Amino acid sequence: MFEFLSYSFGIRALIGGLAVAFACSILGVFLVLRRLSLIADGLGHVAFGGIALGFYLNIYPIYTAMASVIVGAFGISYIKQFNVYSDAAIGIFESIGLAVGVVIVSLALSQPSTLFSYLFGTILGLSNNDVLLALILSSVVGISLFALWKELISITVDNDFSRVAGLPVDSLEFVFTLLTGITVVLAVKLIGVLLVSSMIIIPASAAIQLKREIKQTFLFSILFALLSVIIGLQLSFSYNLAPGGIIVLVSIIFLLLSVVVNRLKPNTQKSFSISSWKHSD
Amino acid sequence: MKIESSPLRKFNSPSSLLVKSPILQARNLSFSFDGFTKVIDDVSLTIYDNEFIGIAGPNGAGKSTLLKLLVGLLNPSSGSRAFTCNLSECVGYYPCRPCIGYVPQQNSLDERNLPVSVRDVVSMGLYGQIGLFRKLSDENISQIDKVITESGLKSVENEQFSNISGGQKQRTFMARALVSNPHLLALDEPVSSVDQKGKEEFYSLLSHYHKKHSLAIIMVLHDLSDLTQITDRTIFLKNKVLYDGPSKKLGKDGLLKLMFGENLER
Repeated sequence: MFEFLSYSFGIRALIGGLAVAFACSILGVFLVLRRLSLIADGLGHVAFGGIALGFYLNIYPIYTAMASVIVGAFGISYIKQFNVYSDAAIGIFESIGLAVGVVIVSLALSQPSTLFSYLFGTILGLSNNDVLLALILSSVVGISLFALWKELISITVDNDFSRVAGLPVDSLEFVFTLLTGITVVLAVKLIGVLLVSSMIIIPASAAIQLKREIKQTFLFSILFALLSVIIGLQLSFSYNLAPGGIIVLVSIIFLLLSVVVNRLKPNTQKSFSISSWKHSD
Repeated sequence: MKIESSPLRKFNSPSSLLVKSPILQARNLSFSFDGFTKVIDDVSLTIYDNEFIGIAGPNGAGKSTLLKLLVGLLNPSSGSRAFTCNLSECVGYYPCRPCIGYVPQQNSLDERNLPVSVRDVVSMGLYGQIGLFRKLSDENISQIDKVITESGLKSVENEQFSNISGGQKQRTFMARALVSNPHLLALDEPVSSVDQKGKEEFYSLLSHYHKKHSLAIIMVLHDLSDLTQITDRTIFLKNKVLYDGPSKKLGKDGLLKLMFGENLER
């Protein structure tokens, strides 16, 4: 069992994968509850443009992807001020990202095969530096989201009330957007542009399906994401399957199981409260 | 937002209320979404301590917009607003966060099966005060317990918010607004989607807070008969203030006349 751990690239894939799954699964709960799930998909495509630019300019592509995603994330927020609907704003930046990537590929100045590896991820090809970067950035994302969780939950529930109650809503939105950008770039490296949103949306959706209290929702989301990576990597090794795709398919199984569990549950809701664990954590 | 510190004179205040101290003063407020059409046109008003004010008007009259201007969710195109509740946090800034509690329209919070309990929602009323990265203190938890009990939510405090009735949801929102002990409670059509029983319970609770805690209340309300019965003062708005005075003097008939185009004398 877990024979992939006998290879150093397998260990790197596991550590990098778990780090990214951790960040994605926490962020995902906020994004899904705020109905912003598609922003991950849009930013993934923006990252593709940034990666292509990195190849073109001969800069480490993750850096250019990070820059482009942050510009994209704030661009999406900015153009919404001009009466552009959220989904349209995401679509516009998604198109820009893809268009830039395709145009750079057509210039034939980059290496299309390497560039296209970012479409499907390179979790088995992670270097030590990639793993270190994934660990650092996912720690930053995880710590920030946990530190600000009560404020982020409040703006998730009711943005207007939070503003009147004195929360610095604009600053919180800024930090949240930044963390979303960082997480998307990390996930792009591992599972690719085309599957980035699944890593963020599916474990969170599976956890929300269970209708547990908020702390348990986060814990289940993390658990589903981590198990998807572990099981997905093992299946990938055992049956020579694309790791990014199989990780996502495993997470889909967790989602289906959650739906079934939710259906089988009696109609009485479990009592719960955030406040009950205020002093225990 | 910084405001000018010059004292404002009193506007449209019923004479019976002049002895009370003002909490919020708004002067010549105007607001437009598109830069051309004034949704709020030169509105001035003063809210006094322990007043119960109802804002009425036809659809599109700017009622919710006025409330959002008063609570600081929107900034006026022209005019000024000032809280005068003399809290140190309020000097020179608008809105005065500790001074105001806000209950938004229920439909502004769509049903998303959010995994939060009633108690969680009420606790959120204190998040703005306890500061970033900090947990609720024992004192905060006592405040939350007190407002939950007083609002009749004890039996459902640990229920998932999306599972409780419309009336209980509105009481939860009110408890969330009141947990920080504000001087003024602003409500935007709080009972628009609540059944008759829930409505009566809500008004009863509102009246309890108004009387027992000397809370000033300003509320946008569609139901004209309710408005004249439960409020002390009515502001009738049709982008401009058409009436600002005692609710009893206006009565339901007076409100109906205003609503259908026949202005009463101020």
